[in-house]
Amino acid sequence: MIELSVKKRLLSAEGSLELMLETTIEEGEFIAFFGQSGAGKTTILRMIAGLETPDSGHIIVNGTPWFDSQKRINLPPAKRPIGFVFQDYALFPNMSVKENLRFALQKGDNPAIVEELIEVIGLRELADRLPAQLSGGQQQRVAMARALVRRPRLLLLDEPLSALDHAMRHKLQDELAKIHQRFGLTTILVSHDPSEIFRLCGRLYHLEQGCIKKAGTPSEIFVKEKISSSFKFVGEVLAIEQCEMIYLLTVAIGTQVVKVMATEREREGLTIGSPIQIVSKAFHPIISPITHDDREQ
Amino acid sequence: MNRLKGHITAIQSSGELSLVDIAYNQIHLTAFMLGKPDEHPEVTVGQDIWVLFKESEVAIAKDFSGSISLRNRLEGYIEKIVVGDLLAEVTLKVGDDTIVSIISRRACDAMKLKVGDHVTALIKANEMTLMEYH
Amino acid sequence: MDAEFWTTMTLTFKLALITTIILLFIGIPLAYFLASTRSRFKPIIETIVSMPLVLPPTVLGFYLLVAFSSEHAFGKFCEEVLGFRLSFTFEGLVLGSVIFSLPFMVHPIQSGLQNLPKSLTEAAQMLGKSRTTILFRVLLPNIKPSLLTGIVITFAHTVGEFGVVLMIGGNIPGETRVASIAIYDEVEALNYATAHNYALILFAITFFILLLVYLVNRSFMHKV
Repeated sequence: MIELSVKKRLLSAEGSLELMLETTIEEGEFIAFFGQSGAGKTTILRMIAGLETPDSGHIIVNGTPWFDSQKRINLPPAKRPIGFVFQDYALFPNMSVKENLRFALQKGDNPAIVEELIEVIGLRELADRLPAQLSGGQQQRVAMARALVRRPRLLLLDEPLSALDHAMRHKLQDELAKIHQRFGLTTILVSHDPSEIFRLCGRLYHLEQGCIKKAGTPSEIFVKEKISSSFKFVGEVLAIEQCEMIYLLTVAIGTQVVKVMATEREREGLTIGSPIQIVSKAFHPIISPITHDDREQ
Repeated sequence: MNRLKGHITAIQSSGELSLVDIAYNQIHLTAFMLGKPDEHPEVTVGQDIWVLFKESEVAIAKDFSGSISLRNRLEGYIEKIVVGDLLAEVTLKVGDDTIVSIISRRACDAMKLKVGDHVTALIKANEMTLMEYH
Repeated sequence: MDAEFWTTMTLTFKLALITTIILLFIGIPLAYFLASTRSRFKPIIETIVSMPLVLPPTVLGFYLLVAFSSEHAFGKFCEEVLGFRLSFTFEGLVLGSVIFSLPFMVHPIQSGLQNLPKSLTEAAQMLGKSRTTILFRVLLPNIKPSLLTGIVITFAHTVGEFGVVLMIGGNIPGETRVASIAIYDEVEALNYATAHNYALILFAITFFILLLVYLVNRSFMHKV
């Protein structure tokens, strides 16, 4: 469990900002800090990691104070057992994939975990390559694996997928979800992408001007309207085509891509990448069993 | 999405299925809903509620007589018609509200619909979706 | 070419080599400190390091000469406690060269370190690594071009320095007489041929050293 109660004055281009945060995060949760850039999301992550020092307050992780301004405790970053994935991945350019992971080993660690993680991220063939020879998605996987070498109990992800294209982002979101399930790590994600948060997180904090504006589950925060219906999906608009006076939206829902009809009014304000909610009455769907052959496709 | 504000006058349930009666002005609307009423706290008798239905689910009748299974009937005047090659978008004025129906161009032509016509919009009860009013 | 010519050339390169090695040991920690510190004293230290760049060599040489003299506390300390004289000796020349070439070693390394993404250091910190481990395993291997530049420029600059050397070393053959001073001397004595020999060798060596730096740095760039 992480108890966070911190204050920090931030100086930004728009002037100064008082970051104030008080919350607890339970063991094994996958939570997100969401908000515009400059809202203080990344700073919170960096304060938990010890890369930045709060002006006052405390950060207590499983009963151990990592920071306490009154008791003058401030554990250096190297002493905090955290996996941190940076927005730019921060892979060491002089080390191969394998060396990047090995570097994360501590004295006395069993090096077998490096091999295991290379297997998990599916980069066995590329293990001897340098980071510069990898694609963005592959680099992201290496950064992820490197963060897991120390077997941290806490994983911090700073906009980890923002540099990737849409398809790769979706793929890696699934992998992140799997990693979270497999290792049961308490995970904190910083993101400004609602569909990413929807797919990954159980709970989120919406930050505005350094303060928590709202906290709750993704549907509580992002879906304003309560509709009584059984078919409700959250997706992301991939394409918008007009046919006469109606529109066809191509929407990614989970790993599926579907087409949905929209009227002019429904389409208003939607652009490629807009997160949307799709609701249908339970009476509509046509149901048929899936044969084995269908599943193969 | 068409959207009308009404208030709930009755809820009749049978197992997982509920039929919700809504009064909209003087008109009586019904909506089918899955799940027991207590799963939907926003749907209780006496509450105001939004009734939503998709434009493509609205049928139009002119000079309508005889009986029909469709429970939701909204009478109004045609305010605007936009025709495409296959589709026609008919905008109706129902009281102070506006609802839109998208039907086939052929039906629109066959019925000789024109602005000012007095018509009835028909929607099946299972196409009506209820949304919390606030 | 006579023996004295070779003595002078050897001395010149011996001085440059020793100075460069000493500066490597001083320059890396100093550059690392300057690149990562948030101390209030950083500007002061940076100024002191950079002074030799703008100060007339004779000014620096003059103060060093005064400090080295056995009448001054520092010179006296060296002579009486450490047992070696600094003024007009090779040891004094090395010390002087270390001081006046300091910015040529520190600046490239410091800017190399500062240009690395901060996240590399932070990522290594998050992996539980100490500052020293981070410096040697993560930072230095990624600024090889800057290191090479620092080493070569320091070496070349030490070979070419004239003013400070003349002030503190004088012109003792085999002890403090380096090539740049020898050229001046030979010209004064109208021995243009000998001056030519010195000048040409310095010219050629400097050219090839710099060429090597640019070629090697280019291959670093291509590799990354």
